[in-house]
Amino acid sequence: MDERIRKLIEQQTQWQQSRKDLSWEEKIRMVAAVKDELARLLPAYRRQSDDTRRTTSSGSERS
Amino acid sequence: MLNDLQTAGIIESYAVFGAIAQMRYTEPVVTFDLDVLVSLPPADHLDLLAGVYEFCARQGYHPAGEAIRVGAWPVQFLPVYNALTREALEYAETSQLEGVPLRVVRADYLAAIALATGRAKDHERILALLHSGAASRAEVEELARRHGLDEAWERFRTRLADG
Repeated sequence: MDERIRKLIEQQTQWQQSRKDLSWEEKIRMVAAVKDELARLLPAYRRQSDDTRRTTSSGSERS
Repeated sequence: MLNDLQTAGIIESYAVFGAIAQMRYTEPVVTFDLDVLVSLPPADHLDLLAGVYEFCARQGYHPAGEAIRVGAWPVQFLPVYNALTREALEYAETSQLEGVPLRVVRADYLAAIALATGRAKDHERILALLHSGAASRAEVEELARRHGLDEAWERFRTRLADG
């Protein structure tokens, strides 16, 4: 097996185990942090896709 | 707040279920709200959750869509709606969250409720709970049998659990 792939699988397994080993409180805190981060990122993502849509549609109007 | 609702007699009992409850047993899963199963005292009006909403508003917690926002979390209250959810509430366990006792639905009941709901993400929940060892196949199958979910269990078993 490719060494890089083997390492990635190992890291993934460790990451999975570390997530499982968290206490319930820690898991909830982790999910809350992910939720906050998504809430922070989503408006920027939406703005970006709106801009892309606008650019694409004005581009197709021109063609 | 949940314990306060109970102490004030607005609800008879409660238990956290859904993704937040699942995480007691499995890896963290992304969720955007906190689901709470509640039993309510008999009411003479149709809006079963009116008392809950009024109590929360007095505490400074206000509705956000179908939920009530408590800090960072939208909390969604669901009155028990059948024998399975009533039983899930009755046999809920008490866990500690930041030093506060919190009633939480047991893993086997979480799996059975997910089986009854039956969406793809519910089936993933059942698999995760079985895989964690917190609920056994025999326990979920027994709940499914007692609550008329034999067909749903059979479908789940043949398509996913034995696949």
